[in-house]
Amino acid sequence: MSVNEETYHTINSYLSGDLQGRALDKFKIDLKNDASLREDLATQRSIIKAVETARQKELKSFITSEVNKKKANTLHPKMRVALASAAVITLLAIAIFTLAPISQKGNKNTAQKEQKAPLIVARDNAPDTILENAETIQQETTQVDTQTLARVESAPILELEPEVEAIEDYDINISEVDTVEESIGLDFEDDIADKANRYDINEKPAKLAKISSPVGKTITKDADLIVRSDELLGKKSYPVYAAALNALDITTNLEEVTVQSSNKLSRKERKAKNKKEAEDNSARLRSTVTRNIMVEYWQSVVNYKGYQYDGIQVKLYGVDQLKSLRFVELDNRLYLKLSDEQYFLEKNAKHNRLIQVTNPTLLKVLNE
Amino acid sequence: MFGIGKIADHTVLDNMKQGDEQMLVYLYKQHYTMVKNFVLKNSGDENAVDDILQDTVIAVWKNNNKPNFLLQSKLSTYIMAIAKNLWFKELKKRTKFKLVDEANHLEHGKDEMHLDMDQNIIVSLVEQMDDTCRRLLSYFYFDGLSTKLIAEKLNYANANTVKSKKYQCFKKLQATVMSQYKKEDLL
Repeated sequence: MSVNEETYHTINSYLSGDLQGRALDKFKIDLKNDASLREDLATQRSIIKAVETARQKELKSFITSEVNKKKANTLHPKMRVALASAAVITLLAIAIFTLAPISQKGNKNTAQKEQKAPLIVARDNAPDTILENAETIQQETTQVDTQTLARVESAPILELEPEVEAIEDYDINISEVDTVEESIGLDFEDDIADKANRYDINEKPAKLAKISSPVGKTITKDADLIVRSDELLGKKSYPVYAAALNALDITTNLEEVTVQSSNKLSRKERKAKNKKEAEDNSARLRSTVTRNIMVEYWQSVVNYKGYQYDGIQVKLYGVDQLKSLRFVELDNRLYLKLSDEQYFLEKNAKHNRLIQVTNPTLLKVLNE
Repeated sequence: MFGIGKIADHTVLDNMKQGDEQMLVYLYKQHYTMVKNFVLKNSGDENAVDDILQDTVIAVWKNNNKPNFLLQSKLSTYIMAIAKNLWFKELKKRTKFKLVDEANHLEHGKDEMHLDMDQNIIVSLVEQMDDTCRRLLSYFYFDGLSTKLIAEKLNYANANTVKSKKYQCFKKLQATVMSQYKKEDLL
């Protein structure tokens, strides 16, 4: 039934094309003459074909399974995008929910620290004790924790607030502003004056309750808000003297006249005559009063120093009532002499700072 | 395994010669889009793409193991050429199938079906063989591996052992097949 090994290998060689030459011819002759060899060849060919088919099937199933496995592991691009988006959203949500309590906790801690200090001081209710407590706290804290130290240092100032009346509290703030003003000069006087105006009772909304204090202070109160306004200290009327730039011209003209007449008069006589005429002129100028002006002395809540001149009256802020004032009008411009210094008063509705006159010619005219 | 980067053609062929079946999967994936575009443009469908590409890479596998095989172009060009030939052959087969007379077709189909059934039975008998014999015969007849390489892969002493073992396996299979069929049935 079954072929022997030699025949099997010969048929294999024939089928694979390896059989060549005489061996091939001999095999072909045998194949023609031997029927059983033909049967063996057919059987072997069928079996080889089946083996090949089986192997092909095996490889195909292998490829299919591997590709499907990888397909299952590989996500569709749209799915990938969706998953990535979901992951990002989840991370953001986690970040928000994780970080929000931390920041709140941080704020809470700061607030707690600020609240904690007043509690210590409130019991003692004395500045010395406050400082002692502050020092004690300072000793307890480490030097490395500078923020904590800073907080402890500032604590005594903070806890005074609930203990003192609101008006006093406002005074403290004003003094702070004043300190700033002094340190940086008068540049912020306008702003400060505006700030003062904002607290003026006349500009407050109607709904605010008004309380007039016996000392002339007007206090506006709306629930927790208590605001002080500027205080009028007194009023005085001053004469306004006229002056003219041609005063100088008069003098010079006189000088010219005297120079012209110098030929006729002796030098000594000429000098005496000039002096007399100059004194007469200045006396005439000094005695010329054009009008009276009303001066109001105000004490600003922000210790503002300056003036407000509307053409009729002058409001002076931060000027001592006892100091003598002298008003001179020159070319429709008003000048104020205060403590041997001349100041120009600008006519407008604003609060202005006092501007000192530095022009020597003008000063000479004003001082005559 | 082959998700990142591209393997050089000669490496793929060398690995195939060593019997690395993963190379088939690699080639399949690498050329899927290319073959798919071609088949879909030429009256094909997705199922046809799978069949054609599988047949293509298996053809490369078989040809690569032939002793006189020499790749003279890029591997992708060679694969596309095989895929095109297979697909045109398939299209020709489909056209022929439509043109045949219905009666003749039925008669012919009956015979073809009979033969296919016989072949399928032998294939199933091959599949039922023990693993070593089946692999040995497959390596030799299909993969075209040398007896030396088969000896290495199946842990045999040498090429002669492989030769005698191959004969024994074949004899065994022949006996099983002969028990199912007469010799005349196979002619």
